[in-house]
Amino acid sequence: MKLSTQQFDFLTEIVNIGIGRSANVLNKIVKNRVQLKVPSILLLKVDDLKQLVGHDDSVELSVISMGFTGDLLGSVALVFSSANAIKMVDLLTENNYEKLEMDQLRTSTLNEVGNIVLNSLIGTLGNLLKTRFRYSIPQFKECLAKDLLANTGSLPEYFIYAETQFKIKDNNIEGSFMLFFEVGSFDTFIEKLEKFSVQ
Amino acid sequence: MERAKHTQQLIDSLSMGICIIDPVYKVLYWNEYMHEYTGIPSGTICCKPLGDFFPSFKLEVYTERINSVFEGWPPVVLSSRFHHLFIESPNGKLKNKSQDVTISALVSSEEGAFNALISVIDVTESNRQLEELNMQYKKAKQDIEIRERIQSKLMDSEIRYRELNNMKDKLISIIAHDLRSPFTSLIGYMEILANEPHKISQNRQQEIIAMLLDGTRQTYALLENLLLWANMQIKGGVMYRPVAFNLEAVLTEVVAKMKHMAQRKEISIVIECKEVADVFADVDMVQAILRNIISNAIKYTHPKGRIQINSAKENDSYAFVSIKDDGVGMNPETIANLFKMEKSVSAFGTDNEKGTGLGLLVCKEFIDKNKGKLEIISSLGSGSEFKFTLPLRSL
Repeated sequence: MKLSTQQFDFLTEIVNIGIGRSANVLNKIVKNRVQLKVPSILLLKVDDLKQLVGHDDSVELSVISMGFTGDLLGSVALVFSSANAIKMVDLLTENNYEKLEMDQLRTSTLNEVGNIVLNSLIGTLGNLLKTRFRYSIPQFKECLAKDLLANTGSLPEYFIYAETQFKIKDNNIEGSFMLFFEVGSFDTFIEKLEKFSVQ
Repeated sequence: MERAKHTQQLIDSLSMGICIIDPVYKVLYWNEYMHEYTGIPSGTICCKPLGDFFPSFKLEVYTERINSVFEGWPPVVLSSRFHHLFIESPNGKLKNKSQDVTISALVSSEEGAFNALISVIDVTESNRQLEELNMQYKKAKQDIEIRERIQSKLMDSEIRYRELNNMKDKLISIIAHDLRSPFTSLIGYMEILANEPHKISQNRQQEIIAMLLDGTRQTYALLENLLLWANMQIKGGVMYRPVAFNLEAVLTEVVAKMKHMAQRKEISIVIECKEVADVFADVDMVQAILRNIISNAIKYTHPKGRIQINSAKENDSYAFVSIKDDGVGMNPETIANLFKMEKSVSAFGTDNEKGTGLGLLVCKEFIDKNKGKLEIISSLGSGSEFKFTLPLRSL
């Protein structure tokens, strides 16, 4: 499956507006300035996901996800390796914690960072596609790469993937933004993308 | 009606704060938990702007995000670490409290409009426990580091103690055997000369005197090395006084003084020096190095053998001296143990000359002190080459 150039350009624009908005919000609350970049946006097969989130199946991931219903059904997720997530949170909060594990304080901070990024992206998407969503509360989970899609229900063959880079104090922290639609919704999304990209 | 009452009772019994505001931040609902938590009763705050009680709700940094909820955007999460005093009551009751706050869109009775549901979870205690755990972790880590440092110091001390003990054993062994034994024969020969000179032929007397001279020289050389080495073990024991001097001249002078030893075994010593400028080193130390290596070469070279001494520039910074013999040579194990105090033993020379292995320890330390390097190339039966470098100028 392929997106047309117009569809792809429109999607890129949505993501870039969303990312710009999240950087703006983030920089008002964090101690160290954040630069956000999305170097690539891809339409990927769900089967390829494992390779992207970690070649090693034992990589532990920190995931902030949010489900949505309404005109379209699906979920968005911001995924980091747990090591990257801890590093990012500590840089953002100038935390000098010694323990290298996710604790409740780091979790709630990461939840907010994820919430800001996901809100901006999905909010922009909803706005530009003139689509009404109802959202669940953002959820944090730690899991192995192989379990990332456990309990996500029926997924179509494809999903939207965007590599996301957080640059904080000369540190580049990589994460991934993922947008999953449920089976019927994916086609509707592509149709909407087509309709609005033409406009 | 009954159902609404029941729902309110349910929300009031939650161990989290719930508040509902409309798009102009007017409080529509305030649960019992919020009353207890903030000290503000529902009757006081309801229908009034939330910002009048909690100033954070007037700040743009928050209103910008909260307002998106009224447009049906996703929930807003405010974590305690970023927003420590987000909900701070004017009566100071919440001064040291931290909360995780979530603000979600709530469908309003008006078509297409949203109110905002604010949920507040007090995380003060769990944050405090985490801080405490972290402090304990930090302290434990520091304790481990301190313990590791002490352990490492103890190990260093133990190693130093063993070295000193080996040194002491070696000293006692040298004094007890190597220094004492020659005196037994020296005294024996001198007693013969003193007690019965008339019974000994003139030729025999000359032989005895020559043996006495050799024995005394060897013992003196040993004593000198012993003192040099012992001095080096004491901090500041040997003064290092480098000067620029002509290496060839010193080499020739040392070889000249040792000629008699070589002549006795009919060993030829050949010196070849190429473009050696002055070196920058301690002359006394260089003399001791040369004396020891050359005397070893004589000791382990067969009678009528040959010792080749070369000196030239190694590179722009160093000169080298190489002393090569065609004597007995050494196996790798012997070479490996040459500079180990506890293992440095000396084999008898080709003419049964005695030694202690101390000379090479002195050489190694003096070469190090002069910022040079010592290299030994040898194999059993094929002779040995001792090559060391000296700096051409002050480094």
